[in-house]
Amino acid sequence: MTANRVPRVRRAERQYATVGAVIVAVLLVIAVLSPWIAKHDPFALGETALAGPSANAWFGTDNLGRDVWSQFVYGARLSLTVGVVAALIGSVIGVGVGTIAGVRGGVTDALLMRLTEAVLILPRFIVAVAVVAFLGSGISRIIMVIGLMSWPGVARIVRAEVMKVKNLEFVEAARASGLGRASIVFREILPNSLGPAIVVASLDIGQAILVEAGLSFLGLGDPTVMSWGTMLNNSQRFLAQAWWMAIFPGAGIFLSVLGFNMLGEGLRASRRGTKRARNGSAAPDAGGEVAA
Amino acid sequence: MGDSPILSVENLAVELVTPEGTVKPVRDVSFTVNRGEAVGLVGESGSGKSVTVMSLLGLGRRDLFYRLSGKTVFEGIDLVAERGERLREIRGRNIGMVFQDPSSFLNPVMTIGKTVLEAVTRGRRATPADFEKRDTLLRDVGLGPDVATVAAHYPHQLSGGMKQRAMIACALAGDPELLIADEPTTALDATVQKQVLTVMRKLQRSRNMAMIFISHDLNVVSQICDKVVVMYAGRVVEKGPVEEVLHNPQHPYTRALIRSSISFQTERGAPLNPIPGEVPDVFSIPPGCAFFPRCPLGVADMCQAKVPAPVHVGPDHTVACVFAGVGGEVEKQPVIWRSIDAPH
Repeated sequence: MTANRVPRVRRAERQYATVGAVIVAVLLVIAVLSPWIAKHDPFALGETALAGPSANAWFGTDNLGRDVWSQFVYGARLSLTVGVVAALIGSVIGVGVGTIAGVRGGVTDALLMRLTEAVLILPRFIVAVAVVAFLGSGISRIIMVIGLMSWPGVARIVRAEVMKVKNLEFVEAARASGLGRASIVFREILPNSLGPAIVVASLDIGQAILVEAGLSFLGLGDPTVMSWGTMLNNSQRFLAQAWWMAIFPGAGIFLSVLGFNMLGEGLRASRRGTKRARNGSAAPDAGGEVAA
Repeated sequence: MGDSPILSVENLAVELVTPEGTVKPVRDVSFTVNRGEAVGLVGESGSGKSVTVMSLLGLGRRDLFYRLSGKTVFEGIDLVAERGERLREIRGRNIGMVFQDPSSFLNPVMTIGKTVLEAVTRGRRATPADFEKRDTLLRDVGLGPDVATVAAHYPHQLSGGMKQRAMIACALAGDPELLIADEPTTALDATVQKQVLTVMRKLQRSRNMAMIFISHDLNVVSQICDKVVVMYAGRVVEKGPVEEVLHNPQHPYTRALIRSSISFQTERGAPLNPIPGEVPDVFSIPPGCAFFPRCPLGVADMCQAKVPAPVHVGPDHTVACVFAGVGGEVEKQPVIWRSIDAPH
């Protein structure tokens, strides 16, 4: 099969994507099913505080007797929502800015790219802290801030791809068959430019999760929703007595960021692979000949 | 053959402004294409064939600023003066274009069916009639009878010949009166080449479509074209009916091209006859006749003084060479051409 033509290191890199996807999928299932798999309301006070993991409370209980498993499950839901929505906002803005810059070129491009760089050099986390400190910490506000900070990466890569793709022959052919500007941008150029943007977006999800966890850890998170960061913050005072309060939210943050990063890197590696195969003469297509 | 010209190109010149300076890849090109007629545009790489037709349609290097001068009248519209929306209407609807390499000229993320359908609808919403038209087109170019299967495939799943057929289907989607084919068979292997040529010729005849066929292969041109225009370094050096130009070439460049070409009649072991030297760089085109440095006949004073004006050597046969018509000095080249096959 196709994989045999790919060097072993490449293949290992591609398996990153698979591992990442599995981690992400598990977290996604937990997040989606959280009302059913959490045994309690994450804020509901229980009778025994600081109880260790047991059959009754899988991840133990916290200082107020709340079920850590339930908190973990709702924390997953929050982290994934923040990550995905923020990265989505960033991607939409990034794809828009990148496409306009790439298609128009010239002065428009120069201006948009300077703006992109201006946003890029702002330290995401510090700005998020500042905004939340000033405007208060609603979860939708946190998502917006992270989203509005995380578009430059996508914008830059989309611009580069658009500039490359817009001069490719099939775009010329579309122009020759009389297609309008909008059709050419949306049907010919964009679908062929989004591959690398997906990679960057999936790395952005990990970043967004980290920023939100960081804010919550500092006590700047939304107090009305359960977050892994809040749980960690809470655990500090009881680290000596209740390791389970720290280890599970910590593992959640670690695994989710790792999962999205591996997914992104793996996708990047497999894109490299297909590109190489496409350009090589011996392997005209990496997808395999599927002709009927 | 109706003698009303569908396209007349008069003194077309293209100037490209590049970072290294302004170049003129096309200078003073004139020719006409009549309704239903196939015209071959011949020359080595870099002689300005592609730039000539691309500039007609407002295509080509968009990152470089280019200026056109002269007049190209297509159905009463001057394409040189026309820009933007009007030109877009003409592209695809009145003039279809087939490109050289079907692999890179088809959108890799769209199925063949979608690509052809898009050429039919040109951006508007597709109706059942459009789908029918798409299927007819695919069948016409020989991708039938099971068009649904072919339409569902992506470009990388098809062979080069099938892709080229799909591209021809796209070019025909607007029922153009003129088809421009830029080396449509160069990227294909010999057997497929012949099939694609046969399809093109059949469709050109049955639709009574005019065609500009760019090629550097005189064998192909002799089979498919009625007229031939030979270009060198951005200028037309010889043009006329294909039989006449190929059997009685007057320009030393045309002769050299003919002598250098290989056909099935070429005897095994016969020496190849490449044209010595190479096509001049657009940045340094020699003064006077651009072919002079490679020309076996050239006389410095006469050839370098000025660009030779085209001279009539037959009713429709013109040659831009100071020796044109001075038949005695030049030994005639006996050329045997493959018989033109009847369309299948």
